[in-house]
Amino acid sequence: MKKLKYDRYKSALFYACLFFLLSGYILYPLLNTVMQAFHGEGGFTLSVFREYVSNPNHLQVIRNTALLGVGSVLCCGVLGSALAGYMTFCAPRMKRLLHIILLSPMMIPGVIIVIAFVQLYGESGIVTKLIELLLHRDTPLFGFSGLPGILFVITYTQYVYFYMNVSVALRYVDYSAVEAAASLGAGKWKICKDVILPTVRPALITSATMTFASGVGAFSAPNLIGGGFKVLSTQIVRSKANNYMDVASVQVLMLLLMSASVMLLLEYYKKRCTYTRAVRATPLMPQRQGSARRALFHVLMGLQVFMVVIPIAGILYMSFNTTHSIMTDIFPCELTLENFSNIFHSARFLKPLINSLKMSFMAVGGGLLLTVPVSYLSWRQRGVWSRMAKSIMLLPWCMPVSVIGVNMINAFNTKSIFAFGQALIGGFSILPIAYIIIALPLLLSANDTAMDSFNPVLEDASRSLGASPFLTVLRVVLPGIAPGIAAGGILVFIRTMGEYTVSALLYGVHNRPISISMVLNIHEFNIGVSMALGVIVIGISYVTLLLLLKLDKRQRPLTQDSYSENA
Amino acid sequence: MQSIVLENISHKYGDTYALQNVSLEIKHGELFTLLGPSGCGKTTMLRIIAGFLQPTAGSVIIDGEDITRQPPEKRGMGVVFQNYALFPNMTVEENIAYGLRLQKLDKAEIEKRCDRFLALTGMEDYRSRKIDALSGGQQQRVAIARALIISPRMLLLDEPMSNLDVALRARMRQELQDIQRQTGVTTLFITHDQQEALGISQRIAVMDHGTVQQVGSPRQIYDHPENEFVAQFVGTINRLSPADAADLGLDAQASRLVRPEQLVLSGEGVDGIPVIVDHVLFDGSCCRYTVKSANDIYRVVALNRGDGDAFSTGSRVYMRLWNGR
Repeated sequence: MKKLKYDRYKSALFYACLFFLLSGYILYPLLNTVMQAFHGEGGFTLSVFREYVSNPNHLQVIRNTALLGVGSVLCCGVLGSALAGYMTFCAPRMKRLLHIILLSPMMIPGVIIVIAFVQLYGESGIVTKLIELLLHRDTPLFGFSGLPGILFVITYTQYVYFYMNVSVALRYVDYSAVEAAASLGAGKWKICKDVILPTVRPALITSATMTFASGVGAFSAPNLIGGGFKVLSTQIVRSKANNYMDVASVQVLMLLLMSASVMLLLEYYKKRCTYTRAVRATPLMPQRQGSARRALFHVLMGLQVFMVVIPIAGILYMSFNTTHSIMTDIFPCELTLENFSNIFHSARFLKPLINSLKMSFMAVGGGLLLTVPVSYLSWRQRGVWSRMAKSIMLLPWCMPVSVIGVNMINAFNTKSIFAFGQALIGGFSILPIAYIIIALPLLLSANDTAMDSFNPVLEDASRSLGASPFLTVLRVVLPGIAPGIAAGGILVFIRTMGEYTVSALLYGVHNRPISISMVLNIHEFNIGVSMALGVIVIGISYVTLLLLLKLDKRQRPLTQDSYSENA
Repeated sequence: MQSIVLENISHKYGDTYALQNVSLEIKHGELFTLLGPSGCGKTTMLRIIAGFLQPTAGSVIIDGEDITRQPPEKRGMGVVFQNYALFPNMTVEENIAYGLRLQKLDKAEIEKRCDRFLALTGMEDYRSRKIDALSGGQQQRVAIARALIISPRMLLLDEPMSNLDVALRARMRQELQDIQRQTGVTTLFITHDQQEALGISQRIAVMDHGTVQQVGSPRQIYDHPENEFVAQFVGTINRLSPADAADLGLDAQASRLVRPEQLVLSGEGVDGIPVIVDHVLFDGSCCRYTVKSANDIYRVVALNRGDGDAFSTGSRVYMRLWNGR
């Protein structure tokens, strides 16, 4: 009995600490921002709000943001779903390699891709100049700025959600149902509409939710190539830079409302259209295509692979060229290793790399420290506390990253009890803390997936052999779920290494990360160094991606039959 | 070796009783089986004895010590799970040595004991293998070795044969009996397979709906079932119609339940009742007949003695009780 009481105290202490952190760093900053939006000289007021929406320019910003969200969903949906269909139905050669290439935009920080796109397709970009040269034109054929430019970049960086989810959903389409529909006289379109679409629809909705959220919250593309096309996320940073925190808070609230309401709506719709599939579904078979159609598909796929590979190849090539050549030649050709040697010989260039590595490790470590116990406790016993902790930890999922940034500024620009009497803004720790908050939902869902595939009887086996609950977790549970947890950790590490949006809001002299350094170097005409920094980040991302694929292989034998109680 | 007493054990899941007031005693060194259909409460009972579940009421006592509230790691029960629950991140040897390492025994002792149990279960050549490189039977042997090596107070086996094919099951049954005899460990075996229970156990408790229906030796259970559930669940049984029972010289209510092998068919009707052979199933060692009397349908099993006395479908024969007559 004593032991039981002791366990209860330990668990209460853990939850007390956890809720202190969660309320201090997620709930309080969010509520604080909401309060700021309604705070005037005489206390509660709607005046900032009223003033904001009465300005037609501001309304245009809101409309632009919505337009960008919807446009991102449509463009990414068409491209991602088409690629998933191609990979499923056309069974191309070297499918695995193609799959890795198609997934790589997820692995490369968005800001690097934007910079690469600017260097390739911008006004003086290599591709733009090449087309001008070929067509004997003096002006660019297309303008790589404004909404079309942003959508172009977002489509090629965010289609991965649709591609991954739809690919997985297509695996669950029952081919027998397709054959049954065909035998009853359904044509191809009818089969698509009545058999395939209902199975794929939840995946489409999930992808739409994620793409919409990242579309409305997108910062690097609108900031770097948006031109006159203003959206909420860029305006928030501008308001913050001009110290109009009340306006920034109103903008944050608008962005939050937009993304949360669409998320809720889509989630509601998804619940209504999710069906249980047949117990023994036969997987879809690759379909025979006519040779002309097959050739067309292959050409389009080749184009896509080119589109994905070219920015990476472009960055790699430019990193070995002098800035002078990049800026003056259509095809830079002054090859040099100077950019890399500059990085490793100058503290100014090297520090951001070290900062980013340090902060990414902190984000993974801190995030795992918070999420693993919660995942484990909620897996063991679905209690109120663990459910509540999970809900708060998942909250950042529906908050665009710039919202999290502004929340942190509002909450920690003065001394706070949650920071033990310190003002965190301007210090080193604010950025890793923000990274942890952004990472929580991803880590939590990766941990939960790992926990769900863990056989609970192994715990009983270990206990029956004499291991205490703590030793059981240490020797049996953690080794069992480690590959899944590590996979989540690696993804977070890669994303944090190139994080730009929240970094732009919160960085200072002590914690300037590599993404900010890349953009600043471009502005300071150190384009070569910026590209070399990009190559280093891409290199780190690919090494960790290989690790991830290795872990994925190792994880399979660990997944056992789910436990069933017999009596 | 220890004896275990279960006193008035009850367990509820929500409003449903999984176990209701169950009392049992398992003696030193005995191989005791809990037999019953799915959902009868036998796994719940095992989990209560192992300490994974706290009973709603009642006590678990080992050699006079009440261990009801003890956590599983303090009980010293060796458990073999239905899906073996081997640690997939460890090799065969690491799995077997896991319990000893927790006891912090020295390396030489762990190695010595591992060798003994690897030999006992015939797994010497597989010590460095990963678990996913083993067959079902080999996994079961590792699970048994892992449970036995800690010198448990009791060995608990939760339907360990259910994932094996028929031939392997028969072999493992034999091996399990041998191991139990060699180690002398008090063993609780859980199964829903009556043949397995009859073949392996010294005593059996037949369970249904969370209650014990009968406890006894396999012979007692089979030959003298105390109620209709036990009679129906353990083996096949005929319920003779009153008229047929009277014709066969039986009248008491209980004695109207007759096993198929207690009935004999013959071509002459000295003291039998006339029946028609409706169906014949020959399975090598015996013939299984379904016969129709004027009142009911019965099953009869006749050993194949190779003298060609099988009756064909439609034969008119006589059925009597086998009393050595």
